[in-house]
Amino acid sequence: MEKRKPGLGLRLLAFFLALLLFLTLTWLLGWLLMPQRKEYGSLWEQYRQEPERSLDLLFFGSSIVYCDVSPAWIWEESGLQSWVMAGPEQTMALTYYYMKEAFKTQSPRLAVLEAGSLLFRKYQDYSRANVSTMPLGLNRISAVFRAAERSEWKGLLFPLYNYHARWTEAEWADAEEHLHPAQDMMAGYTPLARSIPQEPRINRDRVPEEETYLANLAWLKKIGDLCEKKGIRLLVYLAPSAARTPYEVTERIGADVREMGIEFLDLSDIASELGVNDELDWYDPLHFNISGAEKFSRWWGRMLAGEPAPRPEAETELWKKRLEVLEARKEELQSG
Amino acid sequence: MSFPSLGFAAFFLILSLGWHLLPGKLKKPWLLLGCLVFYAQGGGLWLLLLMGETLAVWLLALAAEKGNWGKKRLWTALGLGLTLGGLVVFKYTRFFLRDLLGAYPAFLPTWVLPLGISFFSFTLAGYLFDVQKGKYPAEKNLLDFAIFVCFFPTLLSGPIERGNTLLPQIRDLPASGGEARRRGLLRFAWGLTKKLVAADTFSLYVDAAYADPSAVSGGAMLLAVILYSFQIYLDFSAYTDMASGCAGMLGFRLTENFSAPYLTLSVKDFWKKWHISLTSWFREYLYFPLGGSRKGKERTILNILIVFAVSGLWHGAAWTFLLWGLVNGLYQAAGMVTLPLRQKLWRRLGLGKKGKLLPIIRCILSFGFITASWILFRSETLGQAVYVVKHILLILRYGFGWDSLLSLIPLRQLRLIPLGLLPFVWEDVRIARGKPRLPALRNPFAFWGVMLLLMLTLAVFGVYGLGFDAKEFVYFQF
Repeated sequence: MEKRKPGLGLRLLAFFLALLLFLTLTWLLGWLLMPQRKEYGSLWEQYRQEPERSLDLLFFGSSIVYCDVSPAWIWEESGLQSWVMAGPEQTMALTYYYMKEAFKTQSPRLAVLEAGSLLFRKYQDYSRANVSTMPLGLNRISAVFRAAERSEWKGLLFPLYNYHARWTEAEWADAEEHLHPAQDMMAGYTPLARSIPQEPRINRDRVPEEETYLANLAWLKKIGDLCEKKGIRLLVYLAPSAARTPYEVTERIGADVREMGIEFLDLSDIASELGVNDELDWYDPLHFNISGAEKFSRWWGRMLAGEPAPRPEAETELWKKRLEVLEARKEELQSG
Repeated sequence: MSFPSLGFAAFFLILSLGWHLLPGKLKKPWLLLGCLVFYAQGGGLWLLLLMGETLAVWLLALAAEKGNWGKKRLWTALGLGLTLGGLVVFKYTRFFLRDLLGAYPAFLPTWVLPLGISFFSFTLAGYLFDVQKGKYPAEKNLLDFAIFVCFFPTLLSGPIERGNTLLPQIRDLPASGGEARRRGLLRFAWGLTKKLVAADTFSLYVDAAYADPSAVSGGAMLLAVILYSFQIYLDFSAYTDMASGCAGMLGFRLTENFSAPYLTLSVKDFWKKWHISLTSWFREYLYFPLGGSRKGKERTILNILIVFAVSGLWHGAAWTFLLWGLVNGLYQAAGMVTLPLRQKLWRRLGLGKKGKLLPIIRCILSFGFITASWILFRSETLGQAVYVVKHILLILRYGFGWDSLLSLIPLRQLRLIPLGLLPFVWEDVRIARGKPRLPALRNPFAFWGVMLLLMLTLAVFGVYGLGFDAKEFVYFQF
């Protein structure tokens, strides 16, 4: 007797089960094979290790934030617990999705955003670094389609596309790092050692391309709306740099940001007030090295002291440890 | 448009949706349109050549069928002149001018070889021969004939189909039910995995070794040469799997091109199981007309050498291909001459006909001979082929050179090579035992379980994505 053909329902069930397993397993394998990011921003795995709703403020932006701002020194000055959730050359659009994702586990009273990305192009060639570490979810998917180059979509939606070849070198320890990520003792900050003397100047190249600038402003508006909706104070600033953006541009940025009802600080020329030594404290014209970052971070701590007030349920032991690690790292970098 | 690409996936999805949804009358025009779009994607304006030759051969075959003995021959010769002549002009002019007449590079033609010309020319020529011999009647319907010639799964790299196998299927349009789709999909996925996981991985090592043989040890070169044997087989049979899979999903059955060629007892046997559609083409339309084996031993050997020399040149217009063909012809000639001697030797060594050891020894020896001949096939020039052989022989003086081997293929990959080959050896053992190439897998959970396993293997171990260039099929160049 001929065997009965399996019914359509059974065949569909088998198909969808296989599809579901395929999607789950390829995502899991892609995640396990991806090298864990440990510095230079976009440290999502480490960020998610922070105790929930424990942070007072969050910093957002590009490398100029994760190289210049160290939360441990801010904590020492103010008792405020902060984290740098920035990414390399992060565009304003990506920052929007970073904020949405970051606010899922933390509800800071203040979000501080460096506004240099208002002058960025639509894509800055770092979408992979920025998005590939983001947790799977709607924010990541939106970031891919709305803020990443089309050429990157395959790899960002299907991480195995980018990382599958790592099976030849990956060790179990790599997977362990993903499964049990450690807390980042730098809280998102990346210390830089080298010091290159800088002559303060105006960088005439840093002028906005009108259409892109307006698009970036539109994303900033969305960021403002998001923070307002979440009841989070938003502070936008322009970072100090040895090659400052032309005055007419910074003034325009300030005016445009304030017009949106967002607080704005132009710190472009604050280096001398911070006590920055142009011979010793710069890594390059845009970024501080660790000694410059200490001056800038302590300034933030002093500037923000009391506003907002630190949470009563502070993670004091963790932050003491962070400070120790940071000081040891500073000594190591400065002696080496 | 290559099978392992998202572009092809989109193309095939649209084509098969239309194929399954359109009413009977529209199916054929839809399929032909799909075939032409498929060819135009890579072939560009050569599409006009393909269409022109198809139309001309269709008309000439009809004329030949109606004509008397003389006219039959005339129209057939005209058709052959057009198809095979076109092939010769496009493929060999450069070789003829440069290598035989020593022409300056400025005088050499710069055209790109029309995509799939070696394959569609042979399809057309085979059809003309068959009609002229009265093997089957000339096709009256131009649409059916055009689909037969331009059928996208076979157009670029075969199998070279015959009028009596594919045309009746096109005429009557086979049922493409769920069973056919399932089998076709499995065959396609199997081929895709074979290509991207095994063949392309091997090609990474082979290409690196052949790019600069002096940079690797004799042992590493030997391994690269052996891996090339597997690469070319897996690559080409993967293409056939994918072609058969696509055709199968639409309900068509293609000629099998491979039948476990490396599980063979002699080189002669190998050529019965390797690229079957081409070797049978040469047997029928060249070897038999030359007299085959009916005119004595010496003439048989000469016929074999002619067929293999032409076969070598069919693969490529270069001395390496010609010599590769001749070497394979010589293997067979030597096999014929030394047969009594070898039989005597096996008997003296106590390796009787019923023993299990003899077939294993013969299989390994055949593989060795074939592998050695692939050196000529893979090398850019005769000089490189000689260098590769000399380089391998350095093992005798300097040893295997494991360090160099491990710098070519890291230990983890080296260990996994046998494991990677295992499924395909299993496939060939099934074929050698007369079983179907792949099991039927009627249970939907078993079917989708195997599909899941194949796709996961491909997703992790496949050569694709960041840092890899998509590799064309080896036989695309012919």
